[in-house]
Amino acid sequence: MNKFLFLLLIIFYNFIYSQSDLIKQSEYADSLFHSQDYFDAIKEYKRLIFFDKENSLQFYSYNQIAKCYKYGGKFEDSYNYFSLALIAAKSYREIFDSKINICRLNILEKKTKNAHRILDDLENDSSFSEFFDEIKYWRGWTFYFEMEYQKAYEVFNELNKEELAKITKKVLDKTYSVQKSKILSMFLPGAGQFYTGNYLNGLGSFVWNLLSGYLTINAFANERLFDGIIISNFLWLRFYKGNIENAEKFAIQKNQEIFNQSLKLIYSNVNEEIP
Amino acid sequence: MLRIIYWLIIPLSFSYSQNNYYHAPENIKLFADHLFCESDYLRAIEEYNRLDSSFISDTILFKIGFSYLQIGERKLSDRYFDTIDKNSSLKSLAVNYKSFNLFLNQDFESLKKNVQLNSDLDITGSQKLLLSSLIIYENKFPSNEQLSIFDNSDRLFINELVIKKKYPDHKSPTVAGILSIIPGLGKLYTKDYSDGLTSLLITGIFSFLGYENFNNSHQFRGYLFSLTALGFYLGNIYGSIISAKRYNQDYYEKVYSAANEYLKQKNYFIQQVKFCE
Repeated sequence: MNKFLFLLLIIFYNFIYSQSDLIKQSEYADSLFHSQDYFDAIKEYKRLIFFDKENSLQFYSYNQIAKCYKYGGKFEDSYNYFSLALIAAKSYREIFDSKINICRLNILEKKTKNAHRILDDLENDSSFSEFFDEIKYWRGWTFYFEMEYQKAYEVFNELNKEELAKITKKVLDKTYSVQKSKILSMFLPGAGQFYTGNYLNGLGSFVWNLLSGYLTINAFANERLFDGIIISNFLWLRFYKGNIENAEKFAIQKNQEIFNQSLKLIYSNVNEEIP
Repeated sequence: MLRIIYWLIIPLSFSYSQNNYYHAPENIKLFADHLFCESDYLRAIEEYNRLDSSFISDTILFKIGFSYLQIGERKLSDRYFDTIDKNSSLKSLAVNYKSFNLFLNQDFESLKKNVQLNSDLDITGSQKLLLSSLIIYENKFPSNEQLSIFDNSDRLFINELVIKKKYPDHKSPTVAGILSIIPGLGKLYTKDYSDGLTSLLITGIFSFLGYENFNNSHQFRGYLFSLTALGFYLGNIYGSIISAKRYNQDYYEKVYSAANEYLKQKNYFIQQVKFCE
């Protein structure tokens, strides 16, 4: 009887040991992940999946591999592994997390149409009604990456994400209107550039347009039709068109800079999840 | 019976507790094979390299060489292919893959040597690849006897390639330049019809405008249009020479890309590796 009990004990010990091996392996992979050694971390998570015959850590491992690829900038591979995590998901929470992770990748890559589509699907699925605030939160981020700051601000404000809402409001106030910049330059060459703070460029644009405009008008006034047409076509119109295009380009560029700076600020100061 | 099980399980569990199951050599090999079949070659190499020498076989050496080839480390790949034993069944495949490496490097001298050195092995793939590269890159044409290693469909392709290389559809830049004395004719010669017509029209219109303005005593405009016409005329001659050169370049590029496409389709005459079925 005692021997039988001892045998059972050994079998039980073996079972426990194999479980502890699994945990050890998982901890080892996690330690590589936390030390940002993503290449080796991926290998160890793959090992975990390969030997985990009961698939107890499959979802977790796929998710971690996807994160490694994401942090390494390999978004395509990250998509693939988040999709595998979605297939391996066993609860609504896991399914939701996988979908949100795919959505976050889309936001990060500025594929905002895809992100909205995923969020719409989640919103319309009653199984995820308890996660409504989370869906809304990521909607806010999608707006943010679309540079639709007003909408993003409204969402963050509604969710009481005060820090985020404050930064979004600041960004909204700082952002230049591309339309306004173009229209200003249409009426007064160089004005759009002045509006976006590119004074030297604006001044140059103004002077070139003034000079080529003067030459054109002068030619027409002196009935030198041919000269007028040539100068207006090859000189004035070129400068005029270039001035409007420049104004648009500067406004977009400035807005991008503001967006990048705001992201840096958010990443370092705001204690919230980010895409 | 219970006693036997009892004595079996105790040493087993003891040995088990001594090793980490996931990193035991036989499991490293299993996992490396899995990575190899998943096409995760870099990690597969790392795992194979962790194995003790007692586990290293020609198959593993070949797999490491093949993995290096897949990630573009051709020199390392060759090194592993070279270490495979001459009597191994994988040796001829390794020689063929080495030939493929040399073909990709366009090192045809070494490719020749590789074929000569291993002529006692079944390396028909390498021989076919060598003959094809000689035709494509060195304009050296094989004899009928040499061509006999190709099967009928391949021979058709090789014959076509030989004709294209022996009698290329070549346009002489000098002839194109001389023909351009009449604006646009050089470009017609290089089959650049729309450019030829444009050259003729633009040069003609500006020459006519220059002539008309001089006739009507508009000296400045006369000079302006005549100089523009001259510019277009000289540009037309230069453009025709360039057009002929581009025509020839396009021709060779088409021949190269068609040949490479065919070779790729045929897996460069190398037998496919089947380790993951």
